[in-house]
Amino acid sequence: MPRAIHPASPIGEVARQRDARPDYGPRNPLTAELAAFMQSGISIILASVDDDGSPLPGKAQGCRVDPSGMVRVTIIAQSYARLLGALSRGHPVALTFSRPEDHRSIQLKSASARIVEPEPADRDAALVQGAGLSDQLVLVGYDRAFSDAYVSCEHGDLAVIAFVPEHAFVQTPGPGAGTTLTPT
Amino acid sequence: MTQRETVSIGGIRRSLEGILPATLATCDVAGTPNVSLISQVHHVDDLHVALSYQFFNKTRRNMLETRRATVEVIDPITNAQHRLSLEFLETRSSGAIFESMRAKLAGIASHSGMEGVFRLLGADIFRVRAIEHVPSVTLAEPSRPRDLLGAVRKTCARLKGCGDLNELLDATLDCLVEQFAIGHCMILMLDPEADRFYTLASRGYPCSGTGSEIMIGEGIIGVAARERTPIRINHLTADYRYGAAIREAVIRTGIEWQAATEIPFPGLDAPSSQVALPILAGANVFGVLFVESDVAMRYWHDDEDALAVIADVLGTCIQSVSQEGPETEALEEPPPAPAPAQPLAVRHFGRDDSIFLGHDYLIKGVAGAILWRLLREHVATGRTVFNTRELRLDPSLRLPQHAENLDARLVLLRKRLEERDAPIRLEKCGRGQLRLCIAGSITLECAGDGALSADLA
Repeated sequence: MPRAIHPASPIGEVARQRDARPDYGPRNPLTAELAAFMQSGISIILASVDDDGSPLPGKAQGCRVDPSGMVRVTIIAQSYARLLGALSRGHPVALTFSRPEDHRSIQLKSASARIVEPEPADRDAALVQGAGLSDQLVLVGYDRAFSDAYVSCEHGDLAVIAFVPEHAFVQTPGPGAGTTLTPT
Repeated sequence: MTQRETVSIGGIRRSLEGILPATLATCDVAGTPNVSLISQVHHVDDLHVALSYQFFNKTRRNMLETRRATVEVIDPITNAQHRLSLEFLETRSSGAIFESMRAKLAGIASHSGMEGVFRLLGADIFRVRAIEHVPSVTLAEPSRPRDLLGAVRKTCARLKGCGDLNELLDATLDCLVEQFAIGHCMILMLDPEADRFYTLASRGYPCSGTGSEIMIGEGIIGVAARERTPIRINHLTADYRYGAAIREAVIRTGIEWQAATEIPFPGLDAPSSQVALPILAGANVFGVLFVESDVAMRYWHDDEDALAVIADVLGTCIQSVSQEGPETEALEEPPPAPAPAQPLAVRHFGRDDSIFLGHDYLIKGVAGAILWRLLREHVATGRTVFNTRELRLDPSLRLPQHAENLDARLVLLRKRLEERDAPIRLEKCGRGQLRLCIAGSITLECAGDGALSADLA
């Protein structure tokens, strides 16, 4: 696990969200600040569930939040065929965004997601996100060659998972982790 | 497409070193997924892993409900990635796996700035049901693979040629330095009656520290001996530091006394990587083989494998050289060393059998009691040659039954006398025979159990 230079706390996340206003309508827990955090060059992992109940984890390459509050996450199709299949059959999605520098983490959930064609902006976002994450990994001690391989999109085709978040939770390690985030 | 492979995680142990966080996915019974980064997927054996239970959270609730989890792990050198389908079996909150994970987690917590947040509550044991390779951009394997197997072979051959315990200790540590490029290592013997370890031999430190003590609860050394399992940590952690418990003991026994009888423990001030391996002589824990480095991530699974073989072979060889055989004739006495001008005052303190030569502390515990017994008899009768059998059978020495235990104490005593350049030497003079060599004259003073006299403090 990378070294956190100044570890974040779950309590700080809850306080920040309590003072924020919903920026994407009453049903979307995202705020503009959270949306910026999600696109700030950090780690994105996700999961769904298969028809037989198997949990299906994955790693995403990038993220965009459009003005309506729709989240578009890019993943490598060849690496996550089962995950994409489960999502296309209507299974729910969970995503955790985590910043190596301080372990600040949030989890988003939605009962369903759509698999859509990537737009050039999705690829651009994946490259920006990857470059940022690679810098973060170097900052916390990994070497550049490894960090670049870790964030690379070169080994397959991008697919886009699009969804509107229904729930957000604090995932930063520590007391209070798992608390629901609701802007007021 | 992903490719389903035969179930054995032996080939991906490097991905289970805890260097990169793994992705853990679970679901509740309604099918709602949860995903989190976890710091440790512990290799139990080729069919089982253990995950650290640190908080009761959604992940854990899901796992207990459905008994299923899937984890994605990453090779920290090549970026090769694998997905493991897991079936939850049980939670353990004690024992070798738990203690091994607890030590490793303390290192990870310290390294990641999460001390006080990460605390192991249990080791959740899972059966690995399937392993899938996940395509990723991979880097080449390092170009200079280490020949650990060759190093193990050479070391074992050398150990098997050793005739006594002292040779075994020296050969083991020399091989660790020469064959494994290990810069700092030591062998400690366990004294279960005194709840502590004594350093028998070391390499790579400014002072050998022979005879230095650490309390049984300190650092990973005590854990390895108690659990009879190797313990390995790859990051500096205050939780397993040395010196704290002995300092607490100082407060109980008196600071002056401790200062007068302390031999500094030779360990590194800020070790980043450490491995402690139990040395078993038959069914008994003889002691611990300990290696350390100030480089983080110095010792990997395969280093632990290699060192575990060395510790096993060392234990077998220790047992073999310590078997009592027929005594042989004592060899001829060497010419005496030049005598010091003044008689040497040897003082014995009954409270812990510590021995002082003049004002200088030499040794304590059973090794001190042995020397005191030999010296008293020598002064009373002039006897110089003793056999180990009589020491073993002497009830006043309170020696444990195992032969290797007496041998270790004699090694300790001999080395301390040599290192202090004392006019008293204890030499082997045939199988099962010891010769007490004294240059000049000595006087014995029994200081009893009383307080430390002013001139020793």
